[in-house]
Amino acid sequence: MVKNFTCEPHFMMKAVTKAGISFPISKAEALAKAGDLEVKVDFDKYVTLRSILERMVPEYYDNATFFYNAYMAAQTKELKKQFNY
Amino acid sequence: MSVDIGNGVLSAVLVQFAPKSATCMEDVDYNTDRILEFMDRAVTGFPGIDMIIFPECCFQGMCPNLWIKVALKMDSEPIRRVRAKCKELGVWGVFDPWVKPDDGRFIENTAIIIDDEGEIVHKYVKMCPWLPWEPTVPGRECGVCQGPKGAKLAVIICADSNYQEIWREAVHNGANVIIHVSHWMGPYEAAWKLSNQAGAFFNNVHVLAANSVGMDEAFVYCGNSMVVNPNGVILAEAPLTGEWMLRADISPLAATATAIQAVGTNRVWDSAHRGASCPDLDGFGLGYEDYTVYNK
Repeated sequence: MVKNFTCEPHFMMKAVTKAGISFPISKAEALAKAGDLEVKVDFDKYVTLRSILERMVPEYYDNATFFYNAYMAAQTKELKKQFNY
Repeated sequence: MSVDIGNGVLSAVLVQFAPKSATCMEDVDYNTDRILEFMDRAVTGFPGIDMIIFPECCFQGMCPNLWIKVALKMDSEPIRRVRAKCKELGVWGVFDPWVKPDDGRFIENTAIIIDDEGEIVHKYVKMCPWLPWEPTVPGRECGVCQGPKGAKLAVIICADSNYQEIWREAVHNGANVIIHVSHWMGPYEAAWKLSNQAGAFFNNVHVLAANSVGMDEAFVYCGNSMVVNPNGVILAEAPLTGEWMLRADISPLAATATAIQAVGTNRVWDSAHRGASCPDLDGFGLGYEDYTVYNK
C-alpha cells in the first residue's frame, strides 16, 4: 500500500495559529509573524512557514477562506511539479 | 440515440457505491470492474430500467494528494468500458471521472451522461468545486441534454448543491430532472438532505441524488442517496451506510407540465415575475434585473 502523507494542511493550520496570524492580514505581516516556525509536509520532512507563505500569490487576505484557498492553489502547483503534471 | 417518451416514466437505479481511494491506475481499474458488476446487478435486479447513476469520484475516489496521479483522459480505458457496458445493456449511464483535459489545463471534475448506444451525450464540469480542498478547474455552465422518457437532464456535482445559482441555471436551461452525484461526507448528512429537498422545491424539478459510502484516508461518506419530487418530498432514500441500489420511477414531464399548466406554485416563473398579479404590473411583475443582490 502506498504511504501517503495527508496531514500537511492540518500542520499548516497549526503553524498559522501558533504564529498568531489572524484576518484580515497582509502577506508582509503574515511573513513577519511566521518567524522560524516550521510545517510538517511529509513523514520526515519539515519546511518553514515562511517558504509556504512566500509561494502564495495574493498580497492581502480579507479572511481565512481567501488565505487557505490561496494556500491550496500554491500547494497544488507544487503537486503538479512533483507529479510532472 | 433512442429517445422514447413511451409511458413517460423514467426508471433509474442510483448506485450507492464505495469507490476505492485510488493511488494508481490499477486501483482505477478495480473501481471500474466494480462499476460494471453493479451495472449487471442493477439490470438483473431491476430488468428493463432506463438509467444507472453512479456517484461522484466513482472511478477514482478522492485520495489526498495522490488523486493528481489518476486523472483520466476522456478516451481512456475505464470510460470506454462503461460506454461499452451501456451499449451492451441498452441503458443510459451517469458517471463522474476526474478528467485531465487535452489542452493542458488542470483537472476537471466532470460528470458524463452516456446514452443507451454508448455515446457520451452530455458533459458537465463542476462549477463549484469544494473549496479550498478541491483545486479543480471550475466549469462555466450547467447545461441540459435530452434523456429518455421525456427527461431533460442536468447533472450537478456534490458541493454544487450548496449554491442556488447552479440549480437555477440548470432549470433555466430546461432541466426537469437534476441528477446530483456526490462524494458527500459526514457529519454533513443534514445538509445533504436539506440541499436536495430545497433544490427540488425551489426549482420545481425531480432530483435523483446518488452518494458514495465507505471510508478513505480523510472521510466517512454518508450515503442516504435519495429521490425527491418537485415539491421537495423524498420519495425514496437509501441508508446512510452500506452499498445500496435505490430504484426511482419518476415522471419527468410532470415537472414540465407544472411549468406550463400550473396556476400557482410555479416558483421558477414567480421568481422572475414578482408581484405579477398586482394591478400596477399587469401580469408581468418585476424581473430578475430588479433584484439587488448581484448589482451591488
